[in-house]
Amino acid sequence: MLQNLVRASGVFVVLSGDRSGSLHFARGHLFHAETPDMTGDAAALAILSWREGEFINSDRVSAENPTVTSSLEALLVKLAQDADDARPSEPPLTTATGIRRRMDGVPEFKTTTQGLGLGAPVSVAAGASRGIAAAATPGIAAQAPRLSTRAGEMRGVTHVLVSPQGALIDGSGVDADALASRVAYVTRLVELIGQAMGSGDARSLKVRGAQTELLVRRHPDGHVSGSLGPAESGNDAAPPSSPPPSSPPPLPPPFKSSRTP
Amino acid sequence: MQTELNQTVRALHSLRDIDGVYGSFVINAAGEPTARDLPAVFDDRTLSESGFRIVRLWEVVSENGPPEYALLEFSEYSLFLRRVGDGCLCVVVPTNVNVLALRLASKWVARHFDPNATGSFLA
Repeated sequence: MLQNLVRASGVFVVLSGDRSGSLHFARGHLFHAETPDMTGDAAALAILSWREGEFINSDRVSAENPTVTSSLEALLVKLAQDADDARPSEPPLTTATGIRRRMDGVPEFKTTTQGLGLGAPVSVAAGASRGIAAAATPGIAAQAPRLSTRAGEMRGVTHVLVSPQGALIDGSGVDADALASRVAYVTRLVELIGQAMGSGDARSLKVRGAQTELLVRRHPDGHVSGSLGPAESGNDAAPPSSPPPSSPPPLPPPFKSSRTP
Repeated sequence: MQTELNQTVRALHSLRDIDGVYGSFVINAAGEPTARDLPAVFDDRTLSESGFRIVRLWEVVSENGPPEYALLEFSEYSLFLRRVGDGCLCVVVPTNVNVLALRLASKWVARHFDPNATGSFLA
């Protein structure tokens, strides 16, 4: 396991749709987990069962008291057993229109475990123990979880994570509340500007000042992360969400100006 | 008057020297477009609708001091914003634009506009 391999300590905030939770590690050992309505093993199992999730290496202070009594491996095995007993553990995925999407063949659940660097997608139905074994192989498990920000690496940086509804989920640094409000508002403005100009989905905003730099990134699930810190000299690459271009993009298609709400 | 407008458009057109730049436009402090060098698919109404929100966005992000520029990235393309005179220069660019070159080019364009103009919408 990644966390076990690197003996890391810290808090991972896990986001999956409207759900959120946190996993607390101390020297690679999962000792605390919590969701808005659960703590301990139950919360860890719930988080690990989420099919999709985004992981943010948070600056949040670790919990003082351990609540998780089972090892991560034991939790994963229990998760696999539970899934075998009553699968699928979650309602089938639905399309954007709300129509249920039929799941053919053996369902392969992309769970939270992947976000923890546990290797290839764990096929719960096929037996998670094989996935766990594979994940424990250093060559596979060495894939680091994607960090959404560099907040932990920079000093003097205020970092916030805002839910799609505009609630501050996680924050660190000076005046995180004010930054969260600003991030939520500018994200909405950027979305509206994009709609008006037919530019597609908003991805990020970078504001470069003489002394400071504001970075806002909209995640695929609607959560928004923002950081405000000292401007880095020479850092003029595109914002973090920009994929490396394979070819020059075509001219934007014609659009109707009535798209603005 | 016509000559001045042509010079403005020429100044905007110079931004196309940067690889990939689709075009640009300028809005005033009220968010109304005052000059443009864009393909026809971007009609004036669209620029007006975007303009007043760009003004508001710029005001919000100016709380920590006037920014040098802002870069809005969308799935289709990006929008580079920079203060010019009492308004804002908006450049439609691909997501992989050379920001360093664009910063310099836009700085040159900014000089075209009256630096002593009043009523700046910037904080």
